[in-house]
Amino acid sequence: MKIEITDPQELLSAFVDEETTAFEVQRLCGELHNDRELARLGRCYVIGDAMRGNLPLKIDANFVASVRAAIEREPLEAVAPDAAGWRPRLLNPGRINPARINPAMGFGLAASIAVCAVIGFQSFNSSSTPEIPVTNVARINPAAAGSSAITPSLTDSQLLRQTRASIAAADAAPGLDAPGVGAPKASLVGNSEVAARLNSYLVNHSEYAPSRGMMPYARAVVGYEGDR
Amino acid sequence: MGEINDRELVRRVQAGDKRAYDALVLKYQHKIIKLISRYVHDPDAAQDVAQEAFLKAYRGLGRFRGDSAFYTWLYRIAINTAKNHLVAQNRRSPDFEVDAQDAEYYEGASKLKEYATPERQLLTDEIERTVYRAIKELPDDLKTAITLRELEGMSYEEIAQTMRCPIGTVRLRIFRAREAIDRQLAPLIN
Repeated sequence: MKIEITDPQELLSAFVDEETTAFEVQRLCGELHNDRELARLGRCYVIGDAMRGNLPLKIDANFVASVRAAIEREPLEAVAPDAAGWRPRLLNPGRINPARINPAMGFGLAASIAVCAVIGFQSFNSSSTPEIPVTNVARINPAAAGSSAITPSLTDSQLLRQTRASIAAADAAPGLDAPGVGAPKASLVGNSEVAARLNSYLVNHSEYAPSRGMMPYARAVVGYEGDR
Repeated sequence: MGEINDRELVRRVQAGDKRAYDALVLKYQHKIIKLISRYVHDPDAAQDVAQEAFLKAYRGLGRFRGDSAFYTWLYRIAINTAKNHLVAQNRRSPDFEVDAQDAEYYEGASKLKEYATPERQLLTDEIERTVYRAIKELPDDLKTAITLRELEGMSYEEIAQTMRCPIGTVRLRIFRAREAIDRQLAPLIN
């Protein structure tokens, strides 16, 4: 286990040898704001370089000061990353350089537009009022079809109520549900030709019906198939 | 362990502490100037190019993410700056390239001798003489400790094993050796 260095000079020497802990480095960095400490640190490096014969031919004692002065002369935004962290600089902040646009970003943008277009198209289709085809009603109850044909100005809700009423009437018709009698509804559903036509109709219907879910086909087919 | 110092200093510079960059310049200035001298033989020009390299490094430090060691990164900047300087001077950059680790030990610099005028080498020679004289005057334990550290590159732990003493003693001996040398060196440099 390392013993913490308390003497600042000794700490500086250990820092030169890179034998300090991260905490000690942090402590020492705080003291480097003192010019004397900084100069002492520089001399410690000079001693090592001199011993190893690594001193350059010409030594400029003011080299660090020259670099610092050059840094100070630089425009602020061109050099120092600020305290809030470095941010990329735009050459012309008012204008986006096309060369800097990432191709991946372009693909992402195109995909987003495509998705918006598809959703918009679907919403546009669903916004038109779905109408229950007259033929559907006619197959169940020809009278209802006739009435709707007579009253073309019926509202949606009226049409819906009328359709429900005619379906209810068909369900409630005497003898229809009696076994062995061959009730029209039962025979309709049981007949494979009719069932096929119904399924075909439902599929066609669901193509034009407003699609509010992810799988409109699944709803139509599973819900109305007579064989199951 | 060596990475800790640079990483912390770089982090501080990135947070806006310019003094931390002074410490990095102090640490690497001689290595970088010597490295650039392999390309730019005039010592005055080498100093200028080194200054430019440190300035470029400072500018780019915001983008430095620490994927490599700071010195490796700085080394590449210095080499590029030196080559750009030669191109600007209409000179072909040399074919050889000195490895970052070997740069400070590279001795094939015969051309440098042309520029080593007595005036230019005066301070360098004087510093070296002063340091060696000061080391000669050190007590044996301090002399051994600083020599093992600076010339052999041993860690404190290795020196402690070699000298059969605690690490704290090694640290103190090296510190005292530096203090003694610095007493003679400071008037010369300042």
